Amino acid sequence: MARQIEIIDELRERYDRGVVVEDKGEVFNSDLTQAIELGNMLDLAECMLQAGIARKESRGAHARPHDYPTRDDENFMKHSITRLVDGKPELSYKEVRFTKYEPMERKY
Amino acid sequence: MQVGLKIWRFNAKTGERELQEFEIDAPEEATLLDALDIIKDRHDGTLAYRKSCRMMICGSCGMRMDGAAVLACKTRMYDIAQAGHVPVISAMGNLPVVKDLVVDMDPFWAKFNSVDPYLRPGFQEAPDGREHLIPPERMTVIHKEALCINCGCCVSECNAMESDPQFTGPQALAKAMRFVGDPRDGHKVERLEALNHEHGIWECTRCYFCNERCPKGVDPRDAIAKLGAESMAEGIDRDMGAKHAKWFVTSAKTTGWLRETELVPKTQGIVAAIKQTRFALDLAKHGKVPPPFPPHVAKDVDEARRLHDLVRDRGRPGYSGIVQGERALSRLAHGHGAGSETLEEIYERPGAFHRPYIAGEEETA
Repeated sequence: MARQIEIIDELRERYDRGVVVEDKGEVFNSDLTQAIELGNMLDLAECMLQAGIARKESRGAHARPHDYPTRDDENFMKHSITRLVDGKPELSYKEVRFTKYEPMERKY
Repeated sequence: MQVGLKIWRFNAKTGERELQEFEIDAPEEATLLDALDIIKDRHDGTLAYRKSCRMMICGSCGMRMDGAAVLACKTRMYDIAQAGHVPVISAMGNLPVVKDLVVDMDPFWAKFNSVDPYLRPGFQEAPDGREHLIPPERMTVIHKEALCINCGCCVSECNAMESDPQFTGPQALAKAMRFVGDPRDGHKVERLEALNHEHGIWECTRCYFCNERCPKGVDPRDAIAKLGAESMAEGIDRDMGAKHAKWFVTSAKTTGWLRETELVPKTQGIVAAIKQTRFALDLAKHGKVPPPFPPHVAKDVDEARRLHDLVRDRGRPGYSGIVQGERALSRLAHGHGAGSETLEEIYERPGAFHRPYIAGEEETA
């Protein structure tokens, strides 16, 4: 994941240098929307990586089989919340609200 | 693999139309959508088309290939490219083109919304919070209609809509059948009543293009037939289309022939028929219609009557009298052609769909 951060930084640098939008039209310009979406996806990827590195466990689709193969309810039974502050993602956590069903590890 | 495409471009601002040819290099497994993506990425970023899921789920990428509606993500380019064919890609029909391959779907959604495309439950919620259970067989009736992904391919091909843009259309009517046939819905009669208007179910010309071109096997024309049968079973038969269909049955039952001369007055009424007298006499003069008297009775009219009684005695009025699902099933089983398997064998395949529900069967099972 550390390597991926480098990749994202590199892509971000390329993106900031400028994206060519061939379509100059005003109607259904998917070339433009895709360019905007690409920037947003880079933001999102950065947020996901930061939260993923901080979450030292395996839970559902977030799997770290080599360093943290098990679920850790004690430390990570919480939502990761990321905000962009001055262009950089800032990670915080929110408690999980328990309702009718007690959360438990899923074993298949 | 080299893939050639000719694409109809459209610029809404200038109103210009242009057929542009592209020659691209694509992987062998590429679909038409992949080919368009390659064109947009590497050749011409201004090309516009809708897409989303790439796997026949979202229904965004409906377009025409060589004049027939397809989902771009379902259409493989391999065979076409191998044959050296360069297909012409254009926007869907019956809907206004916004740009290149993008059409304005607003008329489509307006018709979709006009049939109340949501469940209006007709049962009282059990007071103890129990679920309202429905046997799966009751839902297989609308299995095909529920497969619809609103891609618009059937609407694009609809001949009736070409002559009357106000026609409710195959997609909206298939959606209507999806709720008319739903055992949980409690507004069947109201729904049918609302569909029996001038631009409703009876305006379909039965060309079967929608069945032919639907990428999901919904068979909208079958749905329209079911709506018609269901309307008549509920006694909603004031529309000319219903009267027309009824006259076919009466005529076949009584003389074994279609008595065309009586068809017009029985369908349109006496007044409208008198207005057509001149036209009818012209037809008669040229030997196009037999004289109405005496009525010509078929030699084997008893056979026609027995057939009529047989259908009546099976006691399956409405959509349950229409055998369902064969086409969709055979298509799923063998691609497009008919295979050597019988229908029964198809239903018995592992993982096959349930055999269609037939009224009264659930009690015996």
